[in-house]
Amino acid sequence: MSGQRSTESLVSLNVKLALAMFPLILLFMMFSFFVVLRHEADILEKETRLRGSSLAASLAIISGEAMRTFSDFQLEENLDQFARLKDVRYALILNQDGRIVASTEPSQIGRTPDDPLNISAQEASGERIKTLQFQDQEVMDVSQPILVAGRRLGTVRIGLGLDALRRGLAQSRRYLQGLTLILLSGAIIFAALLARRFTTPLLKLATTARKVAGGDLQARAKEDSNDELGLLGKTINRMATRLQTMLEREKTARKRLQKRVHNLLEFAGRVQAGDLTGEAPAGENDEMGQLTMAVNEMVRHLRIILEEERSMRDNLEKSRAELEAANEKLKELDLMKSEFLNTVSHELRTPLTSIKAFAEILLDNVGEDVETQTEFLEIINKESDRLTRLINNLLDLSRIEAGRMKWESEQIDLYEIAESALNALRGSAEKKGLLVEANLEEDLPTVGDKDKLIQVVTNLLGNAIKFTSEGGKIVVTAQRKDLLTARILVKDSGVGIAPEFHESIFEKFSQVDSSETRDIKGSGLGLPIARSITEHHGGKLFVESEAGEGSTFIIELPLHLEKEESEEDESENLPGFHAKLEPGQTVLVVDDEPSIRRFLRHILESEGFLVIESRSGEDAVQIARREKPSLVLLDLVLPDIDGFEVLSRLKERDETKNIPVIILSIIEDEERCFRLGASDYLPKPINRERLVQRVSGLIASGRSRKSDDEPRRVLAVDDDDSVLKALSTILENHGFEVDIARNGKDGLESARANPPDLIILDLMMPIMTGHEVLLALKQNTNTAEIPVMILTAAEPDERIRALKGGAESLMTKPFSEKELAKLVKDSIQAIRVPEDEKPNEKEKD
Amino acid sequence: MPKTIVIADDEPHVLRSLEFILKKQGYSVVTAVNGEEALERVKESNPDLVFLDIQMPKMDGNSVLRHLRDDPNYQDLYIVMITAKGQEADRLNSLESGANEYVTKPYSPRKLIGRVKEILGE
Repeated sequence: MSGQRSTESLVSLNVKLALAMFPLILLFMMFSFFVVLRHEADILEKETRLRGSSLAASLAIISGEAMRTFSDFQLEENLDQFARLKDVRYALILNQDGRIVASTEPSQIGRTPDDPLNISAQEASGERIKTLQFQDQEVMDVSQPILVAGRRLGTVRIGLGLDALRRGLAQSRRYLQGLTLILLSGAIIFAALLARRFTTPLLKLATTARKVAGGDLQARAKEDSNDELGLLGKTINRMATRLQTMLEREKTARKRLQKRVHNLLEFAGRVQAGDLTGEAPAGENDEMGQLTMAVNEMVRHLRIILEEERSMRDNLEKSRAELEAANEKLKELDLMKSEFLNTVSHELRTPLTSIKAFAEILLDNVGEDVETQTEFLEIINKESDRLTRLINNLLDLSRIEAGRMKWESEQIDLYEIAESALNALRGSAEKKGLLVEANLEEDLPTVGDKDKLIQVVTNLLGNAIKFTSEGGKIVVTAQRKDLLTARILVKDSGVGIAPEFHESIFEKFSQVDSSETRDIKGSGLGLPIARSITEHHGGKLFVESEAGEGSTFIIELPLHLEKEESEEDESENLPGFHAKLEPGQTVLVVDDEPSIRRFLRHILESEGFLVIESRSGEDAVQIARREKPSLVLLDLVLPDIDGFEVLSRLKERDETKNIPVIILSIIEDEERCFRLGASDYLPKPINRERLVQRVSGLIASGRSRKSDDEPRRVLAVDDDDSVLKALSTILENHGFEVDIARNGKDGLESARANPPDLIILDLMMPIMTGHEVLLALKQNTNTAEIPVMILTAAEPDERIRALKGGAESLMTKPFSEKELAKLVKDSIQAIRVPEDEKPNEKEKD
Repeated sequence: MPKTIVIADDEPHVLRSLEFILKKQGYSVVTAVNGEEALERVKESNPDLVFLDIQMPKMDGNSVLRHLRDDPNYQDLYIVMITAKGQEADRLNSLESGANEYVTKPYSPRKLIGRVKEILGE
């Protein structure tokens, strides 16, 4: 920059110099002209004077002799010689008197002019020089005395014309003028050249600069001179180069930016078109890069959102499809259900038809012969049996399918199972004239429901007998198949089953429909039930057969060498069938069916219980309040209020709520029964053995409850350790045993495993809230009776909800030791009074 | 000449009860235990009344019914379906196929006899 500025100032000075040159040179020339001219004039004058002097001296000398001799002629002669000299205008010789003795002007001779010049010449002792006008010409007049032997004899005067001198001077002046002019012109040309010398490169520089400014960045100034111009050129060039570099850089950057913008736009276009894959290249981390990254991020978010949306849509679609499928399935199930109902109805009506017909026939034909009557009664009996079987099978099947079948679980041997079935049916087989062979391996232990497994084998054996004609053979085999599996095979030599029916015979109400088999009526449910039972035991039931070749039905069951622990525990906990009973335990039997009441009375009395009967619900509630029986056997279908109502009324009154109730019913709503507080549920038809076992167990366990002396156990459930600590300390100080649980789930498990006398429950807890725990506690008969005290800082709504959910008491955080201890004692007391009557709920399962 | 009644049912006890009450009333009773047999018996015996069970082996009652109605000889034959199929749809199906009556099992022998007498115009 500074270089540029100095270059600018230099340019300016040069211009000024060029402009100033002309007058300066002019002045100098004029000065030189005058000096030279003057000098020359001086020199010429001196020369002229010297010449005059020497001419005069010479004349004086040569004239001395003549004067002395007075030889005029000589004088004349001498004078003539001088007169011939070109510049001598005149010459004269004066004598001592001032008379002209010789002159170049003959007229003058002899005269004694009073010419001042002569006088001055005579008077002068030596040389005298004067300039005068002579005949209009400037003349130098030089006089010189003529000295002979020291005596002055005369005076010579010479007039030298000065016009030559003047002429020489004029000529010199002219020369000088010409020279001056030439020099001036030269100077001007020089100045012009000099100016041009400076301005041309400047102009060039300016042009270059203009070009550069106009965009021609290739333009370069000359920079070879090592002066300011060179510097300027270099600077301009550097500037241009720099500008060019900058522009190129800028151009490159712009191109790159354009490309990136293009990329981004392209990407945006793709995104707009719905292609969200990939991303725009971000390049450097500048604003554009950041913009690109931001766009990428946005698109990534968009993609995630879209993917989520798509996945949601897919899920929705899937859910919808599932829903539709479920709906279809439901419809199918509904259809199946109504088909099943139709079939059931048909199957039920069929035996009923004969029963009804023959009963009526017998009634209308009392006088008929005994043989016919007996025949008809036998038919009625058979068809009744068939109907009963059918109903039982239906109920079994429904229980199994609904998962409500009561399964015993005991250690059994398949040998015994096969043998029991054989023993039951050997008679009828032999009666039909069939040969029965048994190959029973011993020691085939398994765990399961003995009766039901016997039922399976009996069913298979029964079928074998049915479908094998006289003279045929049935082989029952029990054997180990491998280390883990045992099998029972029932092989007959009967009609056999075509392979296409091998699966369908296990479907409900499906029978191989042929005239050969139609006269042998089954319920069509035996095999499905048998298969369900087998499968429940983790086994398989299948058939191997060819039509006409006999069939082999095979049961495969897993072998169990050890009892499962839980079962062991359970059986230990179950008060035995033969539990010692104190005499006089009263059982209230509630059923509107007198025959059932009679049946129950018979069973219970034979086991040593006292029995009170009631045939309606209202009545039963009254009796229970009055008599406080040890146990209630309750039917659900009653003429006035139903069994559920009876149950809830019993449970809502303090004096009856601890009496264990066993539901005896064909209505399958165990859950509701347990929810309402039933201790057990036994389906009809009544299994005597099981009934006695349950009744004895419940009564015995009720009597063996712990005494009042034992310390009360409190289970504290809270997720706050400090609260748990405070509770433990306070309650232990007041003689309670304290169990703690840090979340609802643990609390619930603890309460189930070891039911405490009171549960202190926080509402706001992780994993399971207090409400959930409360609900679970109240729904389980093992824990439903345990009083629950809510300890909470929660909102009033929550507290009300907890109380509605069955909590006995409520304490708000923070609490005082005194309040807490009192409330805990009260809560336990309230429940504790009828402790002895409290049944052992564990017995239930 | 007693009137002839054909009864077809695959349930032997049902057959036995119907046979008993109808014979008791003096009718000539022909029995069949499946659909094909029923068709044969009808053609053989040219009965005045036919009782058909629906669910039978070999050929069901409705098929027997349609076969008979397709035959011009049996356009006017009185056919009563007697079945444990109690659905209204089953009933309509049979009536549309040309059954004169539809009796649901279990039936009352007394009422049935009364109805038979009406049908046969006694």
